[in-house]
Amino acid sequence: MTLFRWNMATFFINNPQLIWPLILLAAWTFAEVGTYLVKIPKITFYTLFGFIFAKHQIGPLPTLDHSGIVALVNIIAGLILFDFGYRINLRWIWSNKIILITSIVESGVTFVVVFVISRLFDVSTLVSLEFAALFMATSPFVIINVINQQQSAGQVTERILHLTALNCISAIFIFKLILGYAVFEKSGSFGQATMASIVMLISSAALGIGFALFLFGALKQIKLLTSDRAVVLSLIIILLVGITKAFGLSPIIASLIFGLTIRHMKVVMGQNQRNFGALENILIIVLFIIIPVNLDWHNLSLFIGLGIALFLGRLIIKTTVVALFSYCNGVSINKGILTGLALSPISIFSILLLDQSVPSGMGLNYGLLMITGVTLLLELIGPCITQYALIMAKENTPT
Amino acid sequence: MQLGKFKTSTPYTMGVELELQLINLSTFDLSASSPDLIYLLGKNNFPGSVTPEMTESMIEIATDVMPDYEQLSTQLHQIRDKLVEACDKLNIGICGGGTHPFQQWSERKIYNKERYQEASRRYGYLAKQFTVFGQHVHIGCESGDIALYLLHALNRYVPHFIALSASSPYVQGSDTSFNSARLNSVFAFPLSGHAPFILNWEQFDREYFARMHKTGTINSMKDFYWDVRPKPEYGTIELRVCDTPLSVEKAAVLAVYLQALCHYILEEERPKVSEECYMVYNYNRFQACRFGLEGKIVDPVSYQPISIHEDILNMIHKIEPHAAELKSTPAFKLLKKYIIENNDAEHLRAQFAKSDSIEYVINNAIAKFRQ
Repeated sequence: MTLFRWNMATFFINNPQLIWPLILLAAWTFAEVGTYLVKIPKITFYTLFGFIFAKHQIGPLPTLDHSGIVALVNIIAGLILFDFGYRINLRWIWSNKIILITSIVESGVTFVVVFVISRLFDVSTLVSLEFAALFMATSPFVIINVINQQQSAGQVTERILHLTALNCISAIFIFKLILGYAVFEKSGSFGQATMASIVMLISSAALGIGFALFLFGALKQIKLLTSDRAVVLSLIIILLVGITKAFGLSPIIASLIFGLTIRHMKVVMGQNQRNFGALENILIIVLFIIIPVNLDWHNLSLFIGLGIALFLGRLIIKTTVVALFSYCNGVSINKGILTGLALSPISIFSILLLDQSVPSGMGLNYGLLMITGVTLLLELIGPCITQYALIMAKENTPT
Repeated sequence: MQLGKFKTSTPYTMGVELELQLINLSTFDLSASSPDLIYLLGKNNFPGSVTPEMTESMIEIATDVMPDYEQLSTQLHQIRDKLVEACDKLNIGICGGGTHPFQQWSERKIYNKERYQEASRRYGYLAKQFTVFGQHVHIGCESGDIALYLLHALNRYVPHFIALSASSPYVQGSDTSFNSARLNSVFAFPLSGHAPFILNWEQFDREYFARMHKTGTINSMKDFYWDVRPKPEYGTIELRVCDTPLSVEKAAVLAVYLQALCHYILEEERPKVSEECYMVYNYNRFQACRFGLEGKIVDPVSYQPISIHEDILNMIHKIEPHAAELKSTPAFKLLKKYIIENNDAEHLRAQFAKSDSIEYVINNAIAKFRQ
């Protein structure tokens, strides 16, 4: 193993321009062969590939310390979250209040249960609260990717899209409040810290809406072909992410709200430009192999018990609450259960959140280490559960 | 196997069936959502009935048997309201229109019901490309003989209904230059076109249906995709050439036009029908599909050409007293308005010209269905 690592490192040091082309091609091949053999989502294989070939394991993949890579991850996340936001129908959430109530209850109960489990594993109160907030969220990256891959349509699909959007926003909000609480404990100014978090959220959302209004106005002036709109949208998202980073705002919220606003202004992309076509497929490979590169197998194995407990607790709570509310909202109990199960993916979203939100000097590295270990488990299993749920609900398009 | 007795029903009563599109409100593509919608509608009282169709992006609704325009229109609006309410609950768009403008047939999913799965095995890709949306109108008949006579006497007027209801100008993302491109999909089926020229029910049952059944090509009357077909179990004839209009009001008006026409044919005109009448049938049908109300048809008896638009106006003038007798005068006012406004196909083209967006066209169809 040591010889293999040494040979590989030597090869890439001598040929740095070959690192990314070879990694991408190898990851793609690994996922294609893996999916062909075991019929589970490609993103599970990208993640596994990223983990295996990470610096801490055997491979040449760079760590996330490199600012260029972090910027790239942010842009990719921005593009995918735009796509995700574009699928959210605010009018539905407004007219069908049960969706909103379901989200509040499932997120709230998940928060409580995750907090209690973490405390039972002797995790500190602050880190347990952070876990609880982060575990409220479902990964929008996994959800949108599995839905696109399965070409699914139906109530499970619609509900996991909307519940994911809502629980992500709740998670960010609560997480920021907890950070505010942490800052209060340190600086003695809870009100100021909370206000700063709320202002950050509102500013990020306002930026997304502002960009959408600008684009809508510009497209009215310039007669642009529908097929060319994806290029303009991509460029604007890159700019939007850049601005959020420059001003300490949330690229996640800004991109999501930008996509959501664009959709409600009926700015339409051409049918073959949706999901940014082949570009998004390549970006998905990059995103999913990059995210686990900071993970170390030794850390993962330390927290395996906690990971399994949190995973099961969260799964049971989300499934039970969503199934009950869905049934009361005119969906079969079977589809309600499958909707709850399909909400299991987490991970990348929380890692990004931690990466961008935790202020320095907060002493949360321990928590970060734990949650990254836990989330790798969920990263590998989550997409498989979502895919299984869509297939069992007969909402996928068989190929 | 024979069909047996033709059930007697009250003459000139009506029933309307509408096949409707289920739309994904993010992409405006078709959405395979009928299992969810039918499940939800099944939990509440639904006026009329709702059933699945060949693919999961469609549903069919049907009214009860209705004596007149007012009751028919009222129930169609009640059905529409229930559908809109359920679709709002499930985040689905619902609309009329004979075709979805850009859906790809290969992406459709056959509904999980043995009859549709069997049709898919039998007809291959034709089953999926049959994701087209039509209006069927039933008219009650006293006997099988009258039904068969009426069915053939109506052949002269079939282009009227095609032209008036036409709402399928776009197929697979392109303007077909047709007003009703939907009927080209129906025509691809081997048992489509017009019914065989037989005027006696016993003879039809014994010499045609029973023999066809023996060949193994059909199981029931449902396997015939004729433009007008008898429906012995209901005691009706069923006109199947209409595209689903963009509004339920127009669907009611078209049904009432057929009702008055049948009343006129049986109570006043009593035209002589012969197999020769079908000489120009396919040509007239093509004119209506291609050019809509501007098409030019040939009278099968006098051989005189006339525009469909003009022919309908002449006919309205003739049958207005029958419409009054059937309490349909308000519907005829609307019918004249629809002729002036031109059909839904031209309305959809105008929406595209205004927006340069095919998705906008679908969004407009969704809004029009709710009006």
